[in-house]
Parts: sequence; structure tokens; C-alpha cells
Amino acid sequence: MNINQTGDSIGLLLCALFALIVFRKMKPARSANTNANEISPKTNARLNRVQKVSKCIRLFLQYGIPLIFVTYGIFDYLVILHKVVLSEASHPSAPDSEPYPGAFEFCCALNLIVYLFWYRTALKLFRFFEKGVLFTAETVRCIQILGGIYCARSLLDLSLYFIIAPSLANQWLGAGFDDLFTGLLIIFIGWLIDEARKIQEEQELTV
Amino acid sequence: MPIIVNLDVVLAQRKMRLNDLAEAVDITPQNLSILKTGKARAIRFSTLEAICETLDCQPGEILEFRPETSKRKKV
Repeated sequence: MNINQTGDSIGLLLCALFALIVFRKMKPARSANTNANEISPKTNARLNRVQKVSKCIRLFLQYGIPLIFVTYGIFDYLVILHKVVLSEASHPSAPDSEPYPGAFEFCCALNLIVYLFWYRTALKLFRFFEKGVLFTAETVRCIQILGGIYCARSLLDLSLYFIIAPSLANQWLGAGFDDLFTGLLIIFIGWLIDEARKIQEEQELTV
Repeated sequence: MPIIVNLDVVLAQRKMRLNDLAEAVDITPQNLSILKTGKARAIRFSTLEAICETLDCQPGEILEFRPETSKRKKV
């Protein structure tokens, strides 16, 4: 088993352990002040289930993902260090032939910013679900932002492909197009939920 | 919204409280409060009938149409 596989295994083990701890210690979430559009959790077992699952996902996003990142980061660093030491010993390093020096780091930084924005929005959305706030303007906004982030990431990848490696731009049609379609689908679902919420509000406000 | 609900005016004239009206009409005080504060989007004829019967009034005393100034009158 090489160091990459070891890292993957440990990462998966950490996730499983984390999920087990969270499920065993999970208590029913307490709702915030309810308004006319929210359902009382005391009378709705389904909402309790939604809140429990949302709490689990929120805890995983809040603690599990940073933990995984740190774990993989450490192992990646060890792998790179291992490879660099081996390659320096066997072959002297060739001159840097990158057409755009620093382009890779710039792409990584942009992707990190997009990812952080996604992370913050996803965390906010699952906090809403955990409080029992399901179909409101705020949750719809979060869903649509997540969809927009997928679209933005896809278009960002495409533009970076064109700038850095134009000959590889057709590869975007594979993974990049999927992200764009997923993003548009999420935005559409957000819009649908918003329309359904307005229909429900109309019915609730019919005396 | 162009439709104004004057339920509070009629209640004051009849010297009746909202909770008493809600009990008489058999709807929750919360729902009646939605109507009174103008947040209601629609009202059922059955509810309007029950309110008018209890308050001994006409629908026109409870509901008033006030057109919005930005919209033009259609000829």
C-alpha cells in the first residue's frame, strides 16, 4: 500500500468515525422562534427527522471537512516531499518550462475562494434546516447561490483552460459541462421551491 | 394592496373583541388577526358570511377598494 492509498484510507476512516460519533450524540434540534411559515417541530415527526439529518450534515461540513482537508494536506505534503527527495536524488531538476509562471497557483487560489464561498453558503443552509426553517426566502437564496457557484466554477474552469492550456479546452466538455448543468438545475430547483413557498403562503393567508 | 379590510373599525363600532369574534365565527384568533392586519391574500365566502352574520353588517362595511395611484383607470 503506497502513501496515497494510506492517506485515502485514513481519511475515510476518520469520516466514518466522525459520522458514528455524531449520530450517537445527536439530540433533537431545538427550533428557533417559529413564524407563520414554519411548522411546529413538536407536532411534526418528519421535521424532527429533517432536523436530525441536517444537524449531522452541518456538523460534518463544519468539523469533518476541515479535518479531512488537514489530513489530506499533511499526506499530500509528505507525498510531495517524498517524490521531491527521490527525484532530486535520481535526476537533477529541469528548468521550469511553464508558459505562465504562477498560473497553477493562481488557479488554485481562485478555486479555493470559490470553494470557501460554497462552504460558507452550504453551512448557512444546513443551519437553517437544523432550526426547522425549510422553505423560506433565505433558504431559497442559499440554494440558488450554491447553484450559481457550480456555474461560476464551471465557467472559471473553462476560461482557465483557454488561458493556460487551449489545446485541452475540449476536456472542459466532460467535467466542466456537468458542473454547469448541475448548477443550472440547482438554480431551477431553487426557483421551483420559491414558487411552491409562495403558493403555500397564499393558502396559509387565505382566511 | 388595493383591498382594505376595515374589520377593526366594525369591531370598535360593535364593541366586540377580536377573540370573541374568532370564537363566534369558529376560526382561530391568529387567522382573524391576519385578516385584520391586512396580511390576508384571500377570504372565503363562508368566512365572510360568518363574520357579517356575527357583526350584523354588509361585506362592503368590512371590505373597501382603494385603487393604487400608479395604475391607470381602464376605460
